[in-house]
Amino acid sequence: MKLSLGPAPTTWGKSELKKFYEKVAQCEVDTVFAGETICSKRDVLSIGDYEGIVKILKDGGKKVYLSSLALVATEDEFARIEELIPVFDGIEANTIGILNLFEKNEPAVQGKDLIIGPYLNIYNWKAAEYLKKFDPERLIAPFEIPHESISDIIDKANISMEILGWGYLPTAISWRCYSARSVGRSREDCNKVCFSHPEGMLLRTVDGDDLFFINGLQVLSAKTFCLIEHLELLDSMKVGHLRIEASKEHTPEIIEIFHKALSREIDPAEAAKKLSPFAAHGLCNGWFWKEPGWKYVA
Amino acid sequence: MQKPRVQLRCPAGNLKAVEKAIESGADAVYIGFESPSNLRNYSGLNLSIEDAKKGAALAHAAGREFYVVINSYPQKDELESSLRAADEACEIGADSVIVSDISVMDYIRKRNLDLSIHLSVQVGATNAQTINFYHNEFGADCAVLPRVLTLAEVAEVCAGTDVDIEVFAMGSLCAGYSGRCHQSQYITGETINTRGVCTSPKFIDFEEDDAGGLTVRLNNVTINHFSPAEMTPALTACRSHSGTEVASNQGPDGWKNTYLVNKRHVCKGSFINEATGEEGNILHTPVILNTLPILPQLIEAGVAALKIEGRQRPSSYSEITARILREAIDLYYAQPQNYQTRDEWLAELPHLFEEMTPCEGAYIGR
Repeated sequence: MKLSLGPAPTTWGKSELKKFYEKVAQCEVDTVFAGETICSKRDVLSIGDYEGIVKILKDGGKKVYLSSLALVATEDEFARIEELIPVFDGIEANTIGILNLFEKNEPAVQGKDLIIGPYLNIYNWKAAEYLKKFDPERLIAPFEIPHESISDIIDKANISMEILGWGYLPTAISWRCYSARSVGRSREDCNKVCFSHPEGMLLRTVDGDDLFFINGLQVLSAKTFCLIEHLELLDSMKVGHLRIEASKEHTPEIIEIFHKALSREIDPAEAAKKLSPFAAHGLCNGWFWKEPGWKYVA
Repeated sequence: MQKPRVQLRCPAGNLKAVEKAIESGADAVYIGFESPSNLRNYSGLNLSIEDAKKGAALAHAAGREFYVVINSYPQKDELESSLRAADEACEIGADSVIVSDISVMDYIRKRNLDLSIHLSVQVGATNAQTINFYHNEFGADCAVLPRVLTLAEVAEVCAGTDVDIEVFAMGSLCAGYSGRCHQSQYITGETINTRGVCTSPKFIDFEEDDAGGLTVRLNNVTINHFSPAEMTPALTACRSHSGTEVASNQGPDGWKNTYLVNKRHVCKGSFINEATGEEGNILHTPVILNTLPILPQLIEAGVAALKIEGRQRPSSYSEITARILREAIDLYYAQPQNYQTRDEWLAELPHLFEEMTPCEGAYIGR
């Protein structure tokens, strides 16, 4: 099982992203996914910026994939994805229309890998098997399906899968911007409010429990999903890649802990203990066990 | 060639609603079976195979169409029942199925089932490329757009595909991008996409407070608190049944269903935003979609069909909403330039939608 780094879920700005990927180039991950998956207005990098980031990461020996927007609503947004694909080794398709490019062997995707993204909602082996006609390199499991469904897909569709190992859970994407709404603005006139909240805005219940983060069009879990204590099970499931979600702070440390746990340098319980300071609102992994998402099973 | 008149497609949660929607002028009625194969899998709702067969016969006798919704995303344990639902839809004589999952679409085509495929709102088909993918792969000939697009974006999608485009014209309005919202699953563990229930009634508890307000918990997580001043008649009815295991108004889930029909799901909960200090409906407010004021613009965007949401609502809802939309569509085609929303239509909405505020959703901006 190899480690991959998922795209940045929140908005950090151009210079922060460049500095971040310089550090990531030195980390023990096999694959890096970059790109804006939530809102096209937050895609602050130019093609030149992406080329620079991809070069740094490839020099560090990584495969580098573009993660596409999940909610593509305009021709311009689709064209932007098509324009960016050639810069990368391939694409994590989060809108299924991208598969048309592979079907037609369009120039933008020639020689590029296809990764089926988590937002395509592939919940069962028959759907996964159908998509094999597009020759995907692997399939990223939707974050909300449990291990038994993931195993069933791996076994019956005989496809390589990547699953989330660490990060906030996407719990919703909306037609409007929650961040803009929280300051009385519309999505069209958002003034990029989310840039002022690079870690999102925390939502509590009226009883004071931390529940969600507002992240532009997206709602994330307040707790951090973590499977560090279940690496043996993941191995037995034949999971191909374990994804660590990019976070503005501490990503190299988090990757190092996962790397050591995978190479059995530290045991899972010790690794979980080392990781917990990086989960400010606690750990969770309930969805993996068909439980409420906020629960944590050790 | 002149574009065909826009179709009116109406929901039915039982056989009576099928009948009422047809009488009121629906061009097509859509239903779900009593199983997790569809995203309104609430107790006491949906049609048995026998009733669905009668519904299809009623629709066809009136020259209308009959659709079956098979729009959950089955996992391994539900796969067989979703595929069986496709066979059953064919057997009862449905014209079309409204589908989300690739496995179901593939099954329909491989088995040569005589069903046209409509893309469910749950597919999240927000762009022409996605719709064309399903058309090329499975011959999908209609796509229901998620309620996330502006009028200009709807027009762009219509222009980019030969597939018929259907949009929501009236009904409940989720904050979320359909098929990608797991807020209630995060709290309860029950998957909406697979089991077809958002904010499942079995996890809801009401607690009446001393001041006469109502606290609502979902799996022990407080999702709403209503002060006495915020209590609507429906909430008051829920409050009066707090603490009772089973109430009798709407099947085994009783007043919990009443609460949910009010669309008081997680997204309409009361929360506190730590950054701004605001407390209230931070994510979404309980509003309903009403496109009567923008009906001409929707039709002129190029859509082929208008859909009324609400299989979970009573037959009177199917009857009245179908009648209002029928009149509105007919008025538009009779006098496109002079179309105006009629006051008598709007007067009926508060009763239908528990006094919730109507709005035009994303169509007019977000």
